[in-house]
Amino acid sequence: MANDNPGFMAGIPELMILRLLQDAEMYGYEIVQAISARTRAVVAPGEGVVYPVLHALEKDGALKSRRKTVNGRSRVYYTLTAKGAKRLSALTDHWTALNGAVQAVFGMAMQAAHAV
Amino acid sequence: MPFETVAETLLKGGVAPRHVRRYVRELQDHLGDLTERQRAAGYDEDDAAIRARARLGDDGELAQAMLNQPGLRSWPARLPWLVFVALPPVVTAAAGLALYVCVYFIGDGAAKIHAVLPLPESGLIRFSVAAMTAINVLAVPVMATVLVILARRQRLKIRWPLIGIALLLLATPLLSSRFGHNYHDHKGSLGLHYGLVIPTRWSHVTDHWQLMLSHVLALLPAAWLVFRRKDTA
Repeated sequence: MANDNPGFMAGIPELMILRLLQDAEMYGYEIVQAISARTRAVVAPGEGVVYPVLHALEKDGALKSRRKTVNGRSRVYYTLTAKGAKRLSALTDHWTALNGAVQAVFGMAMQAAHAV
Repeated sequence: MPFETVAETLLKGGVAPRHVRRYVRELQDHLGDLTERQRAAGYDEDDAAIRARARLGDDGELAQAMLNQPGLRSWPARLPWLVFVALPPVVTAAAGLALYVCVYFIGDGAAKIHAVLPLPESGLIRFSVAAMTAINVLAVPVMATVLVILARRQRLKIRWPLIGIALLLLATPLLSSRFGHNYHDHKGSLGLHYGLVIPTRWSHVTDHWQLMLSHVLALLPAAWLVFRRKDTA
């Protein structure tokens, strides 16, 4: 991911991949392009590093893959499993709570700035 | 081969070969897509290739991303003592015994099989004896070869397969049998022996030729491994 703080990005690629695959079956290149487009390149994956996340998610049973030939090119397509859907739901809840907490801190900071 | 450095780093890092193969294949496909896109954006062949490779990530980054996923490590890399030392004698004995028993019953029951199926009794017995000999001779060499292949695929230190093969030689299972006789009501028998035979007399070799041959054949993959290591060092 194009980010100077990899620790802060931990878990985000996984969340985004699961969310994208909830809507449609995709292969690696499509996933990277979709992430880049939807985040307006704020999250721009170092493109090759998406595959280890996909492999790990598949190993955990969150995704399943199949090789499919489209326009004469054979590619590995990934889809979300029921286990993956549960994991996405848990990650989404976690992320929403975290996002709310961060927003609250920003809100307090803004109020303090106004008071001054 | 493209991404050969990445593949070697991953194999040496313990990533399972099937994940490495697929990763390399996916990277190649991805690079192809990226290059095509750069060409479509108006870059010439060379520039498109360079820009695409840069977008994909450098070899170190690509390898590290995979090494950061501990779940993708292979069993031989994770638990070499189990795969190369503890399991082989048990698996060899169990698989050898299961096959041997099946073949034994064909020979021992040749008369009964002949009564039901149009198969010659003597042919069934000859097949059974030959198959039992083959199991005795080949079980350990086959397992030794498997250990060497596993170690090579995973770029493991050669001490693991060598320890495994040494242990197999010390505990080579040797199965023996005697068919029963239908007409004299003699029961058949099966036997299992373990141990390394060190021949000090020629008669030892002739008496235990199956075991001797098995040892020699099992040492061949080990010798190949040592020779190849010296060759590539």
